[in-house]
Amino acid sequence: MHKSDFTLLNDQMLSGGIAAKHATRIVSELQQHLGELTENARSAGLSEQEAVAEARRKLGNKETILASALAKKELRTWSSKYTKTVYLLLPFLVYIALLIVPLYFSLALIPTLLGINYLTQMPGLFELCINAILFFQAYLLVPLMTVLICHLARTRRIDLFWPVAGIVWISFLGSGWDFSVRVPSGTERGDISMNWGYNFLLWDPIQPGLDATFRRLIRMVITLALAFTMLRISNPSNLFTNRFTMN
Amino acid sequence: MAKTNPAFMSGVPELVVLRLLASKEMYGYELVAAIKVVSAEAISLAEGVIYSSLHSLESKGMLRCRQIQSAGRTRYYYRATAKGKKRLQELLNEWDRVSGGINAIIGDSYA
Repeated sequence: MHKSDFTLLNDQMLSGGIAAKHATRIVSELQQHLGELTENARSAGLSEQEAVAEARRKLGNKETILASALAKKELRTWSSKYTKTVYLLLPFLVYIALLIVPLYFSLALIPTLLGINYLTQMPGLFELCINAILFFQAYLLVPLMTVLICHLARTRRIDLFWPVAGIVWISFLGSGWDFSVRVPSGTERGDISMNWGYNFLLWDPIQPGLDATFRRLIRMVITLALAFTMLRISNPSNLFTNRFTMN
Repeated sequence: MAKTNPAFMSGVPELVVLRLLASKEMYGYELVAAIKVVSAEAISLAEGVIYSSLHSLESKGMLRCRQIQSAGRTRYYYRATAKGKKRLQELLNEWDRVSGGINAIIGDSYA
């Protein structure tokens, strides 16, 4: 094991799904171990070069140490053991929760506690809050979730297939939303509406024009561009090619 | 030089690790040295593989690890927990059963 091998070993353990806390500590322990082996070999009368070579031989090669770590499933992260769940199902569940929970609080719980019926009266601050929540859900939630997925993919140095699939899936799901808030006036009741969908027809007899679809597709393209830029920045040399095969 | 047995030593057997760490708290290098001394160098291994075994047993709750700074070095000391000692007892019982069986066969064959 040479010095550069420790960095490589750390990266390969992370790529193989070993949790960062284990990978970092194992590398630290191996470096200490190599230091002690070298000192002992020196004390035994070996020259510096011989001591280093003997210490490296005793410690074992990188491949053997890596294989022994990868064989221990309990050292792996959740995201490597349950990749599809973490990158496809979990973002979907988080997304749904972040849609429902704020709306429940803002449209049901808080108005009830404050005695406000938003259909007939909508105080300015309340209107601002609703708009902020809907704006967050329609325009910011998906980019933030893609940032989170990119961060996970980068720190875990994992195969990018499932994170990318997760980003595409959540971008498609999240960019299809649109919303509108109509403030109640003296004669008309207020209205809050959200709808989801894509219209790929060139001409829609019910809702002519491509405005809504274009807006959603552009949002999806922007989200995907953001995600791929982040992945490219964080992993410039080996995007899609850092697959690490475990036997 | 002592012969290695890759198939047997691809991972350091938990029985060996738990037995030694049940009696004394040790760090990795010290543990490897103890394995060599106690086994009279009958067990020889690529020393670096000990750490994945230690981390694995720690993850299973059989070992406890604590970090100690000593002479400018950070060392991670391990010792067996109650769960680890219970597991050790099970492994010793299993070892007795299997080695008893093998001894009986060898004894018959060479009698």
